[in-house]
Amino acid sequence: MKRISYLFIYVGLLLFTACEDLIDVGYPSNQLGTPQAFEDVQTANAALANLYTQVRDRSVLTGGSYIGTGSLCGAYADELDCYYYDQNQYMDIYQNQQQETNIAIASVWSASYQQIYYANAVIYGVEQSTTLSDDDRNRIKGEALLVRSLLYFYLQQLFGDIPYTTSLDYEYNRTIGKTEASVLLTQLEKDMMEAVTLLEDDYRDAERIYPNRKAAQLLLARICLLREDWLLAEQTAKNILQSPLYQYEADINEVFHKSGKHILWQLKPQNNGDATSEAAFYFFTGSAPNNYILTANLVGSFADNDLRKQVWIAEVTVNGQSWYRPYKYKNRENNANEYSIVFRLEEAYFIMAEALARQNKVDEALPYLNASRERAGLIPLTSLSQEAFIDELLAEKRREFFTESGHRFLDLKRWGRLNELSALKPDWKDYKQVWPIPRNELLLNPNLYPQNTGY
Amino acid sequence: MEKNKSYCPQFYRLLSVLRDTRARYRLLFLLLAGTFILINSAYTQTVTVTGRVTELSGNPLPGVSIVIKGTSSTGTTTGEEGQYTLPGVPADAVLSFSFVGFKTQEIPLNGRTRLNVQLQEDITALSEVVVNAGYYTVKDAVRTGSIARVTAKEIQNQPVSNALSAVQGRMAGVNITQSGGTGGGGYDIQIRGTNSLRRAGNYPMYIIDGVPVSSETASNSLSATILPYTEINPLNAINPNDIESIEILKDADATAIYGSRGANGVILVTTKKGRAAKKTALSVNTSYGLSRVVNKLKMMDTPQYLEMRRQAYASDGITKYPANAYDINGTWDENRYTDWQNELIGKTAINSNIQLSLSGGSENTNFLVSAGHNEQTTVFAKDFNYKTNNLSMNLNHRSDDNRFTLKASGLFSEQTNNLIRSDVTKQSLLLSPNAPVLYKEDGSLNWENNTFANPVAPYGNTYDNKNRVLNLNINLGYELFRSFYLKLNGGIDQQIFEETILSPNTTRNPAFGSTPASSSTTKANQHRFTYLLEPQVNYKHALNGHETDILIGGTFQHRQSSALGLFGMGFESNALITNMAAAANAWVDYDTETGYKYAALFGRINYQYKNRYILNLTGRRDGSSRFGTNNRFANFGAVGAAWLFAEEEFFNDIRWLSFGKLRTSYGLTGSDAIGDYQYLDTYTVSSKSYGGIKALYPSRLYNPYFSWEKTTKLEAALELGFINDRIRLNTAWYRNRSGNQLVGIPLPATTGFSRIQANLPATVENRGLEFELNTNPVRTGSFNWNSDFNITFPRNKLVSFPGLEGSTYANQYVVGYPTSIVKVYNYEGIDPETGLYIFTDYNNDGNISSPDDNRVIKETGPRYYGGWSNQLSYKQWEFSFLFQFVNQVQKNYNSMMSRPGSLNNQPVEVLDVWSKDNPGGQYMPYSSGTDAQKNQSHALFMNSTAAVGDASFIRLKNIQLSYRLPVNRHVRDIRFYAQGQNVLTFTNYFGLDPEFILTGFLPPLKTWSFGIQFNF
Repeated sequence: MKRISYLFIYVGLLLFTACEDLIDVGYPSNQLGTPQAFEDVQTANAALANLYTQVRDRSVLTGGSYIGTGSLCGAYADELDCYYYDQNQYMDIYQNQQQETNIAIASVWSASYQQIYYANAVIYGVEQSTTLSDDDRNRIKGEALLVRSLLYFYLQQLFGDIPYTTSLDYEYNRTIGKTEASVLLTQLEKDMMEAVTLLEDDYRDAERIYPNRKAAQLLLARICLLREDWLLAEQTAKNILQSPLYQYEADINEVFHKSGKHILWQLKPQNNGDATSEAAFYFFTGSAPNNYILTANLVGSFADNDLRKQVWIAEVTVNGQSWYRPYKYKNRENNANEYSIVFRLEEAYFIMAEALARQNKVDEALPYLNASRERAGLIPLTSLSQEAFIDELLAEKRREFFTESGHRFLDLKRWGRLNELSALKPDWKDYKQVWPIPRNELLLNPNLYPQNTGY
Repeated sequence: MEKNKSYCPQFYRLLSVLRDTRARYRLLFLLLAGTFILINSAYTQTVTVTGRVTELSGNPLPGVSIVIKGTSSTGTTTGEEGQYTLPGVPADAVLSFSFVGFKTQEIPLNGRTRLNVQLQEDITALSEVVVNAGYYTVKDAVRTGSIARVTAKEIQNQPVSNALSAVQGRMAGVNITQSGGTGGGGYDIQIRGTNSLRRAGNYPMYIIDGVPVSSETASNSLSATILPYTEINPLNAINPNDIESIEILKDADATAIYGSRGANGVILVTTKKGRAAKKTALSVNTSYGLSRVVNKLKMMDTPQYLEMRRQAYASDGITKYPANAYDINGTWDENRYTDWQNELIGKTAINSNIQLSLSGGSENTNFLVSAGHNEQTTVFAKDFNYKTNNLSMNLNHRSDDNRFTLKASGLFSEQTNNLIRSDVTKQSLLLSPNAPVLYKEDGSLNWENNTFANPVAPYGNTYDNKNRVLNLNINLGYELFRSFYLKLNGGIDQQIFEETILSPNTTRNPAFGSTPASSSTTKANQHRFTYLLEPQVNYKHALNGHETDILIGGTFQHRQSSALGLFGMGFESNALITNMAAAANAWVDYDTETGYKYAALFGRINYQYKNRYILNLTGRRDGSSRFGTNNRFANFGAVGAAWLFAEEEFFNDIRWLSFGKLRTSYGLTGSDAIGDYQYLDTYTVSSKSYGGIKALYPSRLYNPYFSWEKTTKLEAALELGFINDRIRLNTAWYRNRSGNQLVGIPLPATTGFSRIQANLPATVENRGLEFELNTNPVRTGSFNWNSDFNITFPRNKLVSFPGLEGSTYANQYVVGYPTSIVKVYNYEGIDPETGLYIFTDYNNDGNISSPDDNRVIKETGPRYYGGWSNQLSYKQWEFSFLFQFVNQVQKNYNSMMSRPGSLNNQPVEVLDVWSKDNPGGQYMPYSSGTDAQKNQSHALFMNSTAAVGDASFIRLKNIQLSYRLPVNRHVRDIRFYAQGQNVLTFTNYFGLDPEFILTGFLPPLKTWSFGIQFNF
C-alpha cells in the first residue's frame, strides 16, 4: 500500500513543477510561421498563389462572381438586365439605386482590401526574406504589385477617392484617410513602372496563367489613359503589339480558348476540367433567367451578321419568350480549353486606337479599331471624323468586351459619358459616377468621411 | 515495508502502536461483549426472530440493519427480498430497524417470533443527500454553492436519446432548448444566461465521471444544413439509462474551482454504480416508441393557392402568365392537391431501445456492466436513421481497512447517423399544393419535363456520420494517515468522428445531362485524444464543533486533435461513389494536427462551525496553451458562506420551520473557449490551389496579447423547509458580469480583415431570480405524491460595448439591452393608397432602410421559464408528469415567409389579404415578383415588428405510467411503463414550433413509447 502513496507523490511533484513547459504546444501541422513562409521560393509562391485563387474566385476580376465587375458594372451600366427579385443588393445596383448600406458594394470593398492586404503581405514577406534569390524576389514582388495595382485601379474607378496603403500594420490601416484620385493614379503609375522593371517578358508558365511584363504594361497603358498621358499610353501599347509573344486571333471561335497567342494573362480554374466561373454563372435553360441576361439594347446593337452575336451570345426561348445570355465561355463540364482571360491583346488595340484618336490621329487609329470588326465578319470602317470615330470606338468596344470586367462602365466613365445611361436607366443621376463608401467602413474609420457626394 | 519505514521512522512507529492499541481494545471489547451475551442468554429466554422489511409500497428493502436496542450486538441486515433472521433475541427486546433514507423504527418484540416491518421514507433525509460538486462532494444541507441536481429517477426510461431532453424544465436557472427533431443533434444550454458574445463561448463544461469531454463542435463539420450550428451534443454518447445523476454547477462557489472553464456552468454526469448484493442482478429493459412532428402549419389548399397566384399576376397587371409560372400557366395539373408536410415530414419515426445491465459485488468490490442499443428513424420520407450502441462498465473497490479506494469506469459509444443532407422541413411548407407527383408510374423520379425541382431527389444526397467515443476514468484514493487522503483522478477521452456527404448526379435534374462524372463525395475525419491527470490531497479535521476540510490538487490535460478533409469528384458509376479512390479527381481539403494543453492548481478550504456557520474558499490557477506566452496563466477563485439559521436556539420554538439556510457567494471564473493557436502569426494551408500550387494564406491579423474571458458571479440564496421539510422553498438571486469579452474587435476592411482577436472591454450582465418549490402533499402508507415547481426570471443586458456603433455588431446589439435582441422596422399597417406595407421612417429620408429605420428593439430571449413536475405512487403504480413552460418572444413565420403570390404555398393566415373591400387585411396584395416596390416592401415586412411575436408555450413535456409486478424468486419483478414526450403543446406561436434555435429545421418530435423491464 505504501507504494501507492509514492505514486501519488510522484505524479503530484511532476505536475506542480515546470508548469510553463507543460502547456507548450508549438505550431499546428497546417500552419507555418510567417518568416518561414518566405524562406524558400516554393512557399513564397504558395503565398502568391493564394492571391491568384482569391482574384480568380471572389474578386472584382472574377468573371462569374456576384461581386465581379463583369456582372455588377455590366448591370450598373447598359449591358445586363438583372433578374434577382429577392436580392435587393444586386437589384439596387442594376437600378442605380444603391445606397451606402448595399451589401454587395460592401463586399466589393472588403474583398478588394483583403486581397490588397494579401498582396502587401507577399511584398513585405519577400522584401524581408534573406534567403530568396533576387530573381525570385523581383518576380514575386512584381506580380503582387500588378495584382495590387489592378485592385486599386478598380476601387478608384468605382469609389473615387480611396485609401491607399502598402502597410500591414492594422493600427495604421484602421485610421487611414483617403487619397485623392489624381494622386492615387500617379502612385499607381509609379507602382506599375516598378512592376514593369521587376517582371520579365518570359512567361513563368506556358499557359500564361501568371502575368508577365507585358501584362504589367497593359495595366500601365490603362492607367495612362486615365491620366490622359496619351503618348505614354500609345508607346506602352505599341510595345505590347510589337512583341513576338503575341498574335491577333483571327478566328472568332478561338478567342476564349486558352491556347491563343492573343492572351496576355488568364486565370486557370482550380482543377483540370473545372468550368470557368463565367460559364456556370450566366447559364440557364428551359426557364426564366435567374440572375442576369443581356439587355435588349446591347443585343440590338449587334448587326445580324456580326459573328460575335452568333458565337458569343446564346438565345434561350421558353414558351415563346426569348432571352439572351452571354456565351463567351461555353464549357460547363469537362472543360479542356477555356480559362478566364484577364488581359487579351484586343485591349491593347483599343488602347492604341484611343490614344491615337485622342491625339487626333484618327486615320492611324482606324486599323486598330477595324481588327475587331473584321474578325466579326463586318466591313471595316473608313475615314471618320474624330467625333464619329470615338462613337464607333465606344460601340465597338462594348460589343467586343461585353461582360468582361466592367470595360463598358470604365469606358463611359473615362470618356465622361456615363450620363448617357439616363436614356436607358430612369434612376441614373450624375453623382452616381461613383458608388458610396460602405457605411460600416465610415463608422469604423471616421477618417474616411466625407461620404461621396449624393449618398 | 522495512524500507519504507526508514523514511519516517517516528511516524510509522506511532502508527503501528496506535494500530496495535486499537486492535487490543477491539479484542477486549469483543471479549466483554461476548461475556455479556453469554451471561444474558444464561439468564433470559431468547428466541429467533424472522420477518420481512418492505417499503410502504410493498417493495422489499434489502440491506436494512436490525439491532437489539440497548445492546451492542451486531444484529443483522435484511437480504435481497427484505427477509431477515435474527437468532438469540430476548423475548422482551426492542428491535431497531434502520436504513438510509428511511425513518428508523423501534418495535418491542412482545414475545413475537415473526415481525414484518414497513419502513417509511424519511423526507428530512433530503438534506442528507450528498451532492457531487466535482472535485468533492458535499451534503446538500451544508453546501454553500448553487448546484442543481436531477437523478436517475427522473431520467430513466424516457424516450429520449440524450439525457438533456429529460432534464428540460426540471432545473431552475437552466434553460435547455433542443435544436431540432433530427436525432443526434445539439442542445442549446444556458446556465444562467449567455455570458459571451460568441456562440461557442457559451458552451458549458461537461464532465463525465471526472473526465472533461469537449463540447466544442467539430471544426469544418459537414452537417450545417441538417444539424443546426453543426452541433452534436457530447451527452449523445451516453445512454440516459446509464446515468445516476446530473449535477449542474451554477454559481461562483461551485464553479470557480473549474477556473477558466467554469464561467458558463459545469455539467457533471455520474454514471450508475454497482451495489453490494448477495445475488448478481440482471436487468433487461426494452422499449418501443413512435414519434411524429409536434405540429403542422395549416397551409392553403389548391383552390386557395391558385386563387392567390392569379390575384398576384392580376394585381401586377400581367395577363399572360410567364413561362415559369408552371402552377397556373397550364403546365401543372390544377386539380392536384398534396399535403407536402405529410409527404415530406409526416412519417412516423420509430424508436427502439434495448438495454441489458448486470450488477453485483461484495462489501468491498462491486461492478456494473451495461450494454444498450438504440435505433430511431426519422420523420423524413426515406429510411434515414440514427443508431447508437453503448457499452459501459463500472468497478468500485475498497480495501478491507477502508483506506484504499478505487473507482474505474469506462464508457464506449458508437453513434451512426444516416441523414438527408439538407433538412426538407422548409420545403414542405413552400411547395405548391398542386405541384406534380414525386414518382412516375415506373417508380423513377418525376421532373415533370424540367419544371419541377423534385423535393425527394435530394434524398440521394446524404449526410452520414459515425461518432465513436471512448471515455475512461480511474480514480484512486488512499488514506495515508487518519483523515489525510491522497487521490489521483485520471482519464482518457477519445473521439473518432467521421462524416461523409454523397452527391450522386441522380439527385439533379437529368435534363442537364449530368453523368456520374459530376457525382461527388466529401469526407471529413476527425480524431481527438485527451488524457487527464489530477493528483489531489485532502485533509479533514474536526474538533469541538469546528470542522475543516482542505483540498489541494493539480490538473494536467493534453488534447491532440487531427482532422482530414477529402473531396472526390467524377465516378465511373454511382455504385463506386462511397470509395474515394474511385474518383477521377480527388484532393485533400485540409489536413491538420493541433494540440491543446492545460495545466492548473486548485484548492478548497471548507470550514464549518457547529454545522451552522460555513465558509467555503475555492481557488484555481490556470494555464492554457490557447494564449500567447505572456498571458497563459490566470487566477480564479470564490468565497462562499452559509448560515443554517434554523439550527439556532431562538428558532427552536418555531416548529413549522424545519430548515433554514442563508447562503451567498462571490467569485471569478473564466473561459478559454477561443479555439487553439489564435495568437500565432502564421500562414495556413488553403484548400485552394492555383496552377497546381497549394495556396498559403495569412491566418489572421495576429495579436499575441489577448487573454481570458472573465465572469464575476454573485449570488444570494435562501433555503427554507417547512413542516418536517415536506415543503421546501429555495430562492436564489444571482448577478453574473462577464467582461474582457474575447471577440473579434471589428476593424475597417482597409486592415485586410474584418476583426482582430482581442479582449473587448464589453460587459454582459446576467441576473435573475430562481424559485424552487418542492412539496410532498400526500404521504400515506401506500400513496405518495411529490409535486415540484420551479421558475426562473432571467435578465440579460449588454452593459457596455465600446465602438459598437461602427462595428459589424451594430445591427446585432444595443447597449442596455439583452444580447439576444433583433432590430426591426416598425410596422404600422397597410397604405390604403398603394396597398404597400408602411413602416416608420425614423430618419425621414423617404426611404426605409437599415440601419437608420430598423430601430425597434425586440428582445427575443425567455422572460421566464420553468416547470411543474409531479410524481404519484400508489402501491405498485407510479404516475408522473412534467409541464414545461417558457414565456418568450421569437421571430415568427412572417420572418421567413416567401413573398405571398410567389410560386410558394402560404399558411392560411395569408388568405387575409388587404384590399379596398377588406381594409383590415393582414397581408399586402399578392405579387408575382415583378414589382420591385412590392418585393422591397415584403422584404422589410420580414424584418419588421410584424415578424416577431409571442412564442411562449406550455408543454406537457413528459408523462409516464408504470406498474411493477413482483413475480417470484427467479424473476424479482417486471416493470411495465408507458411514456409520452412533448405530448401536448399550448402556444399562440405563428409557426411550426416555438422551440428552436435556428429557423428552417425540423422541430422536436412528439413521442409515445412503451417498455418492459425485467429484473432478475
